[in-house]
Amino acid sequence: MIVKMARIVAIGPKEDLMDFLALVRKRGILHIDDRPPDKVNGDEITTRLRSLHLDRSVLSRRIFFEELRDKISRLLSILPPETSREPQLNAQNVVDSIAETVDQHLEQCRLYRERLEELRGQILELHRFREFLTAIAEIIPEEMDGSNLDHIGVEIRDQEAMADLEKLGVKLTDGLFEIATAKTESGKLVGVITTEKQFVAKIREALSGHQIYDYVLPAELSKLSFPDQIREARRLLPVYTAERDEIAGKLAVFAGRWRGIYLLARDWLDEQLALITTTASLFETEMCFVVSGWLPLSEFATLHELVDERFRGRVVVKEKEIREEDLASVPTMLRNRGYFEPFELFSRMLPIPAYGAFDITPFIAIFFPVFFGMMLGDMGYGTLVLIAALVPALKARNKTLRDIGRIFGVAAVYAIIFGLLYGEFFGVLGHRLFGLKPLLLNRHESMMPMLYFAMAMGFVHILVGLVLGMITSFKYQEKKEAVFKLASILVMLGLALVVGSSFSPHLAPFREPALLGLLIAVPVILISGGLLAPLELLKHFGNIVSYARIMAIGLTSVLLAHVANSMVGIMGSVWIGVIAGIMLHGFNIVLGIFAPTVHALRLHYVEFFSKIAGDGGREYHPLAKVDENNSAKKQETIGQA
Amino acid sequence: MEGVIGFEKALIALAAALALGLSAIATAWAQSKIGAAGAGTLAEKPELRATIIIMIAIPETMVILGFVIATMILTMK
Repeated sequence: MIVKMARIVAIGPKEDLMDFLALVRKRGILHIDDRPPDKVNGDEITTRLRSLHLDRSVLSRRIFFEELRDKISRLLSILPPETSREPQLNAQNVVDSIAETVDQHLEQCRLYRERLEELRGQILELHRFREFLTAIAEIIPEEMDGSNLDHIGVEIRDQEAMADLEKLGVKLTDGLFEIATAKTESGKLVGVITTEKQFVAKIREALSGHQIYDYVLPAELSKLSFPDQIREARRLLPVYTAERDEIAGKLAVFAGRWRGIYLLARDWLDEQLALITTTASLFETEMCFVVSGWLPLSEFATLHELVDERFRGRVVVKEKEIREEDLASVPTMLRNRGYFEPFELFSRMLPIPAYGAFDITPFIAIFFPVFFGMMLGDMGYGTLVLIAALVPALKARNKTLRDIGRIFGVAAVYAIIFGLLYGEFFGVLGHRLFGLKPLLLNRHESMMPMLYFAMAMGFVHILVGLVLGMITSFKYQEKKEAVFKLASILVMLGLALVVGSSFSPHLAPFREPALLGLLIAVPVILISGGLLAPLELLKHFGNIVSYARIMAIGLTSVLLAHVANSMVGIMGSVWIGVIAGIMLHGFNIVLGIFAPTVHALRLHYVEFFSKIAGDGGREYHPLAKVDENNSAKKQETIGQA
Repeated sequence: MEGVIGFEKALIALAAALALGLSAIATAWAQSKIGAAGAGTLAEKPELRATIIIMIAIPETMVILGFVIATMILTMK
């Protein structure tokens, strides 16, 4: 449902403005309106209102705060996420002190971080060579200095390429070529090519055409001879590792000492900047500030008391009447409790409804599980989904996960109920094992009755949507639209009765009144909806046919379950058949959760919501500290109030 | 006579296959376009994930209606 809102105006002396905003922000309930309060003839305050101008000192404070916040954010992004104690300090004093130290700390930490990244890269490179170096240590001659020979380290991925390479090497070097190979710990074939220095470049070029890859050592070692490279790599690895650990330790110590203080300062700066930014939406006279805004009606008394207690009558908060022309500017706050609450997850994916329109959450909460159950409709699958949904519903800390668990818990119960009506337990397995029989209809055989059932559900759903749309149009004084929707409802009901009466004798007495109703409603539709009205009406029927997907998706689920059960007989071996059957059932469950969810939501968003939707509303954004957990708690508190 | 009945059955089966097959091709084509655009959107706005999934499901109406028609062709006498 949409929470009832109150419009308020607060007036007080300018020197109390920041304190008032801090109080309101702490409470987190006031959505500040950037429109000025209505001017009243003869009222001196409202006729002399103007937008609040920030004086030079506030502006320079804002620039200083923004720069400092930027530096602190950069510093915090460099620091490791060490847990540090929350400092018991005055935030404002902290900000004054760290404004002097932040530049030095930022520069120091930036240098540490850069060196740390450099060392990590070098260590990673050296580690890559460790395995290679260990393997070739035994085949590389130790005494090479001063000779005209050089070596190339290679990894050989295709052994067949070896013979080609040897032939090519001999050809390129006039026989001054030798290759020795060894296996690494992980089984890779690596080798060392020994040749005269003048042939190294030629051989490297030839390697690229074969499945043989040249090992390139880190840049700082590239000028050394191969044996020196190996010795240097072995020497450098522990040196780099020690330096990396030392710098990481220094950063950790720094973070432990300073991170909490910088976080405290950043929070304080955020608050101050939010307050200064908010002043752009405020108004003033020579002496007073004027704040206009919206808050939940249930919170008005609390705010009034808090302001009285804090400012002893210097700041006055008054409730103003919400007039019809204000309706479009009232922010919308959704609040659903108990069973309906988790389904807000789905309705929040749509544009927020206008204040005074309908919140579709309760309708999604009623129809979504029914559609889901109609599509999945299997006691076995339903039970498994229920068990899987109960875990996040009861254990998850994250609210979204908990809501998803609760939604699918309810949907699974409906799947079990419809499974009972269709007589399905892992497809026809229930019938084979326990002689389970359908209470309502067999989806496998009764395709047409199932199609009529699905479309009948669609008819009811669309009709509910049209009724809600009609009420909304009446509320917003869109009389033509409301009359068009009313006439559409009458035409749809009339046609349903006329069609129904030719199938059922019980409906025969309604045929004539229905035809009479149609005769009246059709001209009304043309007058209220214009020449395109018949097309719009046709769209409603198209929407109803779209509900055939409930039957179609349900049928695919039944057929997949049937195939899964048939696997035991088809595969030849019972065990392979059972395994294949279980896997196919598993796949069917995944598909059985995904497809009904997407399609049930689509039926709400496209078919149902299009009947209600008018212009979207403005979301309720109270002036509050931006913190997901706190805002969730805040919403809960407001809800309880 | 049997030959005529067999030919009729073949025509009915062909009609059902066309109703389902052509609508499936249309759906696949539409989904390929929406899918490509959706993937691009996801790279810039991951928070639109749910909306994109719904958008991809929208053209499925065509194949579902094709399926309904095919079912009616095969089951109605």
